[in-house]
Amino acid sequence: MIDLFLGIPLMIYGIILVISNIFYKNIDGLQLNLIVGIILLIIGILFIFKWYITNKKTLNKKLKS
Amino acid sequence: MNNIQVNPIDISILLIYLAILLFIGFVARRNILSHKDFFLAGKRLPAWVTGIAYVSANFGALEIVGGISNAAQYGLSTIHFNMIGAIPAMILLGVLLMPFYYSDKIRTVQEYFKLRFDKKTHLANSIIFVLAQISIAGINIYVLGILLHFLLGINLYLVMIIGATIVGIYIIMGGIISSIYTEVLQFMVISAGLLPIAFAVMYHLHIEGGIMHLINSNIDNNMLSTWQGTQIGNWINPLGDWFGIIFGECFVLGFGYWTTNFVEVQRAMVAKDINSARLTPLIGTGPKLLYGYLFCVLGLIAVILFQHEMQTQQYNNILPLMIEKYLPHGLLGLAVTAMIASFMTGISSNITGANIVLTYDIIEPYILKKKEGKNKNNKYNLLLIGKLVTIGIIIAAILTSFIASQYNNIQNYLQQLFGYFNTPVFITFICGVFYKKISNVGAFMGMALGPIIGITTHLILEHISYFYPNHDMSKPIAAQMQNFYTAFITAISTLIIIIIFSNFGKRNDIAKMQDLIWSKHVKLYDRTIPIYKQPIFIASIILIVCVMLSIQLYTIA
Repeated sequence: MIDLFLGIPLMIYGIILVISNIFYKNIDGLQLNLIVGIILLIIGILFIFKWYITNKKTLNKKLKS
Repeated sequence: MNNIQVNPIDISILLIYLAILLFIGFVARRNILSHKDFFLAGKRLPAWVTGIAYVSANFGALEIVGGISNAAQYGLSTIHFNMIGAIPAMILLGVLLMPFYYSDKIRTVQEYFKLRFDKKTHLANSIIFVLAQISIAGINIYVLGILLHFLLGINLYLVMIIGATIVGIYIIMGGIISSIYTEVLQFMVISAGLLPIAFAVMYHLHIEGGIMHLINSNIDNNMLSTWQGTQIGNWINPLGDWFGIIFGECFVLGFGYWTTNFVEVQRAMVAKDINSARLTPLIGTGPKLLYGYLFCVLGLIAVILFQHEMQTQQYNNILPLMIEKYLPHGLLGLAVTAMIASFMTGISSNITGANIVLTYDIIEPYILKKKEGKNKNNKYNLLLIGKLVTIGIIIAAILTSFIASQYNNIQNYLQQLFGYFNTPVFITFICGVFYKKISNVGAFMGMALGPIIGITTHLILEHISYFYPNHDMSKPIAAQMQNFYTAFITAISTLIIIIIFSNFGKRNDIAKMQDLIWSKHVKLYDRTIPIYKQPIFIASIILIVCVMLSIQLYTIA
């Protein structure tokens, strides 16, 4: 369950930062919102994938029933 | 403290974070079926989760804001708080001491004292711990209120109540599980919010003319050395001489905090097995070392970037200034959220520590068991009691925070006061493990007289010129050095008291407590576990990294 608790917020924050990069000025020409946003997005997806792998059987059972 | 200009995106990041905390509590409550789930998470958490929670419980904002401001004020030698003050103690807990805590009979650090010694030692220790945690939680709530009041302009008292209520709600719903899960999330948010600041300021210095060049040309050489000026007799380092740093900070204060403070040890005690419990503090060393190093670098860079704040000694402004100046909106919101998260981890770890000790070590054995003895039909719902206790602790912590807001220096006094109790508790615990001849009278007297000696020593040292810079008593005393020496003298005195008074009173039957004392049953190396999961192997690697880092830092100037 912890994987899901980490994965979802990190993905949400990743998306917000990537979108923020479009609207807000960069400091020193560094696209920091974009860099951190993509990193958070990747980590978030990895956590959700890990959660999916460990709960695959339970999820399939629920879907079938 | 400066007011940071936030916009709706930044606020939305903060609100999402608070909503997720409550969501975690809401989902975790389905796993809470008994008091064991509520207080001990059913002992089923993996080592990486408890390891991050272990270090996250320590990552209060005082640690983060204070770490950076200390580095700006004192220089590179503040790395000793991590390298000397934390890492060896975390290794000691993981390799040697954890087997004494991780047992079916022991649910709290205080219960070790009950089984090893007697009820009065146990009760005294438990009451002091609960009072300390409530007051520290109250102080954390107050500082969180001040932070949000200054950063975002929100009403102080409103913020204090809202912050404590949110923490209270997710703890009452999910117990220690939601507390640990949120601590792991808070650690991720702190990392995502603070690491970009380091990257941004380093990049700024890089385009301004090179990091090392600017550091070497702007910062005094004394601030760039870890051990320079620590000679006994004529010290000039702000942390004092090497004797105080090694024997006071490392062997007493650091070992005491990381090995007997239940708030920390609790995270390891809920791990799924003994090896995971031993790995918990060892995993925590990674983030502790990395962030300790990072805070030092940020503090040193601040000396170059914020010279006005350095001249006016507004060291606590550094982090908010860096956030505002070098982070774009979006990341700025994440960094502010990280600062708030760091306070909330502090509050939640204090509350979860206090509620379990109050329930398991005070209410259950000394109130419920007595009533149960009179009427055998009485069955108590410890889960419900635990939740009510949590509500009571939160209310008490909020009231403490209101008191702290009325008296400017009360938090310093309270922290100092409870600090005097840590050292005698640690020495008594170590004697309990390694000194078979210790008696119940010796243990109790050590814990009772130790704090008195600590307070007396602290006051006496204020009148000794050696503890003042250049031995000039007109200047402010070197407070850290005074604390290190006070701790060391208190530790030695407590040890002597324990040895003397152990000649009196009843000694417990050693044969019945083989699990509680150092004996052959403690295995440093378990052949059934692969080498990469062996605590002794991981501890060796950490030590090698520490030594290499120390050598590199020693020669940086």
